[in-house]
Amino acid sequence: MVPAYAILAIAAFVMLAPLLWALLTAFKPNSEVYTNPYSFKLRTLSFRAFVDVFKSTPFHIYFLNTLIITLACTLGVIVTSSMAGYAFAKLAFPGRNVIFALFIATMMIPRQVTLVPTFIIMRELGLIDSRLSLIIPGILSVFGTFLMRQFFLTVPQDYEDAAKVDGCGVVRRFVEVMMPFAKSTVATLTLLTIMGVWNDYLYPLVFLNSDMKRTLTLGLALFRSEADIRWNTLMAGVIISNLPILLAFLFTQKYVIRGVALSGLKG
Amino acid sequence: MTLKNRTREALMGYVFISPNVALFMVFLAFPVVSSFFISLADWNLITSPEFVGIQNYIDLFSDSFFWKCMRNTAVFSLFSVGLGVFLSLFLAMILDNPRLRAAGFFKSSIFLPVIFSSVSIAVVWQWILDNQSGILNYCLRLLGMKSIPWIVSTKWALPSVIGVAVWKQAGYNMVIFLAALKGVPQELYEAAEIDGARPMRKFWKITWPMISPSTFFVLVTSIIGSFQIFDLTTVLTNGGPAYSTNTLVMMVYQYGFQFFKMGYASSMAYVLFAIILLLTAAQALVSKKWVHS
Amino acid sequence: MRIRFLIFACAAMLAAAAASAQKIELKYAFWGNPDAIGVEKDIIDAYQSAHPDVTVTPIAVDYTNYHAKLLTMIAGGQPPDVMRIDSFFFQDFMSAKALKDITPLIKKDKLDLSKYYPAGLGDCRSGDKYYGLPWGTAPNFMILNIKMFKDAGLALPPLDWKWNDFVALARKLAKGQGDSKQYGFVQSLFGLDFVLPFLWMEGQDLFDKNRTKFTLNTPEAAKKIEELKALVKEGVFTSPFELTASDATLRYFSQDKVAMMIGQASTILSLQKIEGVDFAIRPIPGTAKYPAVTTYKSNIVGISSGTKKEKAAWEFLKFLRGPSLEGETLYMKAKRIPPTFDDEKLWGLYADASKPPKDIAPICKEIAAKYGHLLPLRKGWMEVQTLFLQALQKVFADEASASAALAEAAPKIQAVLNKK
Repeated sequence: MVPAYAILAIAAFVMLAPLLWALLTAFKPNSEVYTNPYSFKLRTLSFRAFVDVFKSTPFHIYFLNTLIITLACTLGVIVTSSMAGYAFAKLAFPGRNVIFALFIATMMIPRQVTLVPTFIIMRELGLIDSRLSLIIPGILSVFGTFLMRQFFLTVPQDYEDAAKVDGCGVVRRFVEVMMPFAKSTVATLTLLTIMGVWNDYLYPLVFLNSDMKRTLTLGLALFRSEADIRWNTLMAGVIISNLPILLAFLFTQKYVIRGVALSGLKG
Repeated sequence: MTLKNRTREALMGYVFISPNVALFMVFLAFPVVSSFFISLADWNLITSPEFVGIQNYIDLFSDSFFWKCMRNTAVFSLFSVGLGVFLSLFLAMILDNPRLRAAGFFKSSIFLPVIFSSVSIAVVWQWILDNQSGILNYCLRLLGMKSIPWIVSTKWALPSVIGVAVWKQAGYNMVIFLAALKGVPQELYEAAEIDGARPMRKFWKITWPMISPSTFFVLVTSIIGSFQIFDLTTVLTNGGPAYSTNTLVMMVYQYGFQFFKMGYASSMAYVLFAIILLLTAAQALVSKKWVHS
Repeated sequence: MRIRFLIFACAAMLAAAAASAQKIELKYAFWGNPDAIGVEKDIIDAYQSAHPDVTVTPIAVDYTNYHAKLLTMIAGGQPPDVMRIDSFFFQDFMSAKALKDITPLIKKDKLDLSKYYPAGLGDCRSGDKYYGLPWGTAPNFMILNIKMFKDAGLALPPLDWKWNDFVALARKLAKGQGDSKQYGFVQSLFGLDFVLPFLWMEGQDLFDKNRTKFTLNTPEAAKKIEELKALVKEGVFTSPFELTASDATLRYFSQDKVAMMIGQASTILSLQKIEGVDFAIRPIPGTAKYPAVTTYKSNIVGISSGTKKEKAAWEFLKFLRGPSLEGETLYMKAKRIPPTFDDEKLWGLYADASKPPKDIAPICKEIAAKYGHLLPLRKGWMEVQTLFLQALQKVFADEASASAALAEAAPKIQAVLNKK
């Protein structure tokens, strides 16, 4: 038993220590970042870095924009991925496997290369510099569809059959029988979608123009481009931008860890 | 089912996937197909594209920089997936012990790096691995060892990137394995114990086959992800030093947006796509042999 | 009475509608960090107060991805009206006709171009046609760590110092081992503008006069590169793999680990922010035969060829970068970039006597007069740079000799140049 605890303790330490150290750096005044970089003890607690982040950029606006886009996308993804995942797993219709295979295939193309054609579409739709340009395509998640399909495949057919015998239509089977089983997986999908949308950089970079529409990743990038990187401000920015996801994770922790697990069950 | 019911079900099937398909056609299918046509052209993004047929693909195969990036990406994928899967499985097996206390704490701690963005992780590790002021080298020096030029030497840069990537993803795959392990019936182990089987035999004869579907899922998704690595290497090492950590997708970006060769970049993306597709198909075929269903 | 009021109201509404319809919106794209963006906003505010019928919308992102975004906007048919472009990319934009030929506009408004530093104007033209106005014309400098010189008992070199003086100083300044090691100079492979001076001083250049042939595959160039490599091996110069990020370079310099480095105006800005760092600037040392090897760099602000608001864009460009100095004065007040114009008042505004380096104005004037050297910019610069730096990195990583690496890179670079 003891070796097991030792290994786990080392693993936990290795995982947590860098993040803790980043947190501490954010609280150090700039001079200490270089004179006292290794100490886990704070000589002076300084909130200066955090203040600087908000002072030099309208960070709260970036925060709000990111929040709006993330919430809208996450809601959309949950609805569309659950529906499509259920259909691909439990409903029979011609071309089902072909369509699903095409979906999966597009996951293998790097997004950098589809950037320009997607921009052209956005321009045609008149959505450049609008948050909608990130929300509308963001409602679709091939990965989310994949995840939900894999989950629904693990739900025994008996439940569906029993419901059919009871005379339930597709919609009722989906809403009343299938979805209650999916709580964990939906929680997982929620967290993963939040993570993906919150941290997206390339597409917001190209679709958004004005400062007032900017997202957090774009704001953070502005700090990184200085030759004299102020590490404490950078770390503060990192923490502030990841804080909501951290909170989301802490809240959904139990469900997530169970849900991620179930997604891997069937091939 | 009756014909009427079958038809109804099929129709509902289409209805349920229609939002996805609509968005897919506009925002995925069209750009992906356009990119293919762009790969058959020479385009600087300013003037109209100029059709050149498969010249880009021909040029690609004699491009030593392409092969260098390919090698970097392949090595990264091989080691980060290999090490990552091994580490995740190992940690999962240790955690799969009902008598273990504070399991929740350990699980969450190990999972924590997963939720941060690759950019944030790279920023933090850039500081940690700093040759001169990084805390890792500080610890080495405390132990009387020499500093290691983690991200500034051609020898250590790619291993450092692999290390950070494994660190970030280990928790995710660990959790998948944990659930798979929980699904292995206890009776199988008990029967093996009675037969006098030792731990290694129990693992290979029972554990490994029973969790193979999850192993397959983890391998496939990890490989697809590892081949597309971009943010981590861009921020941590910017492809350096001496392009030893320049990946395929980085090369796509460089050629498309800095060298005014979007056609060439698109052809690279399609070659990458073909490789990933082949790897996935190969895995699917081979899986029939070792994945227990 | 009522009817008169109604007519008044209608007229007022129509006038307001007409006025708002006439409000022109210009999109102005540039890169920067939060401080630089602040300066641009001040300039935009100043312009908008003087021209209430115009709204200038800034489009600002970090430098790293700026040109990718610009190209996507252009490819997508939504180019900004006024845009800043780095000179490294500018030739490609120009040859692809992304920018408007402003020569007729310059002639019509009789713009006096004589006050610009010639280096800057050179980068904005193709033949005698102008496609933009210069922004941030400045030389690269050799930056010296005054404390390390003092500690070594060495005097700061004069402006006309030569390569041999430089190497001798570097050798004297490099000392120590391990953690207390000090270097004489940062040998960096950040970009061609950091490497070419060493080749210029041997009479070599990247391209021929027409910029159609790659001309560095020569024994003289190989010899110079091997000389640099030897100095790295000797421990006099830092290894180009040791300091790969500009902030690491600044850290080494400010912590007295390296005595000299090549830097730009932005480097000076960064050093001024670090407390307790006293530094001086000099031209980059050449040889007796080739004394002028200090790289001059400029960026360009131009008008998109696809703009529908040419007149308004031109007015704004004139304010921003024209010889009327309205925009330039505001840039100088912010003390971020040196003047693009040879003007005493501007230098007075920019130079901050309370901060190092001393005598930045006279030194820059000397450089402009005697030591400046233009980069042989042309279409495909970024790709050529990558190919050439790859070859150099092979040499410094001991993977190939300089002559072998140059010979291997030459046909690849020539292929890029040959592409029409």
